Amino acid sequence: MGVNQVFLKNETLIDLTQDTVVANKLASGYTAHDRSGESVIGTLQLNSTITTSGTHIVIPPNSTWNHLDIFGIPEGVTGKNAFNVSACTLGYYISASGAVSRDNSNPSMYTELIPVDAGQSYTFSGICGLKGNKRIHGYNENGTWVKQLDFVNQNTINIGSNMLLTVTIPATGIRYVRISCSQPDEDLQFELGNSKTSYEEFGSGCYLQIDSYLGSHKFNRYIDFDGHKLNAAGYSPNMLSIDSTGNVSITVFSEVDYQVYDLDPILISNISTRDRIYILGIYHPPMQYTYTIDGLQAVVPDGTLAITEDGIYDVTSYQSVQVSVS
Amino acid sequence: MIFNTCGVETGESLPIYAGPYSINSSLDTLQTLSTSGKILNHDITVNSIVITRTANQYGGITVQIEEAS
Repeated sequence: MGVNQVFLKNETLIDLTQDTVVANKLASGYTAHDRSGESVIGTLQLNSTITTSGTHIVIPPNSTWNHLDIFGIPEGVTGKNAFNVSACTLGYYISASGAVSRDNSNPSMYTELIPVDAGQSYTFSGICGLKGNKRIHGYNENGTWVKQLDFVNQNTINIGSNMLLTVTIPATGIRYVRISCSQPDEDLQFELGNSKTSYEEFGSGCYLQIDSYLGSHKFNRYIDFDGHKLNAAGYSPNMLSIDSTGNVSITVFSEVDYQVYDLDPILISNISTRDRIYILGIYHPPMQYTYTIDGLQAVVPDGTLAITEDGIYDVTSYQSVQVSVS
Repeated sequence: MIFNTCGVETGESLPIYAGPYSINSSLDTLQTLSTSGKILNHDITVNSIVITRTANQYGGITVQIEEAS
């Protein structure tokens, strides 16, 4: 046990008890004493930089960063269930020919475009709440209807019975699906794989909670930056830089904690190749998101960052990033 | 005839030191015993500095250095 306080009568000669030194906050190789008086050898890698190659941001799988948070805006992080009832268009159905029609007699609805991968199987499941046709339609990259992939005829299914459709996406031509069904249908789930698994609400498994909206994008309210809560008037240090060739670098000030305030970051295990994440890296506007990555590869398509006079990058358009585990 | 304690004639008579024979430690001031030119035939005791060591809630040890009371 180390000595961490020495008093000479009423005079404090040394007092380490309020010190905050810990190994992962002290530069690698440097020594100090923690608040218990024990010796500490720093492990912190300062100002680590992720550089880019072309449009790829590559974080080595065996990176020393075991907790790297990057400000970004995740979109479409859905967990296993891609059927978002709240995003459905109500009062309309999609016929076998792809026509969208108002349903004046039965409360119908259809989903937003759900991205799918060629050659993959997906399973739609739920409990029938109304005897209406249940259809899965395929759409191309432009969101144009291509064909009906599968359906359940309204005359072959009873209220209260389980609905189950499994489709395999063709090798070419289909990039999205929409599901047309009835509003009273329950436990609706569209998931990867050729079998139904236990029902989860849309968004389950995502560690990001949605609090507010800006335009069509969903945002957190705050990010806690090193103890300072950011808000609409907040500020955070620049984490992105872009060179003359357009390559983007993310500088990680690893002596600082970047954390979402009041929320947990998304875990990498919950980010799939289908998720899209917008990296801002910078505040202003809007708010940033944080996600945790541990050995992932991200692709940065086009995006625009404008440099202001004070050296801060204002985001004039979102950086869209396709995330995949490397 | 005046003799010192060894029986040697000195020509003068030295007073006997009357104390103090015990003093407390001091971390602040130098204490002088007025024994110069006096006969001292008692032991003098100097109390030690008190050092206490106690474990604290932060996982370390608090060292307190104090004068003897």
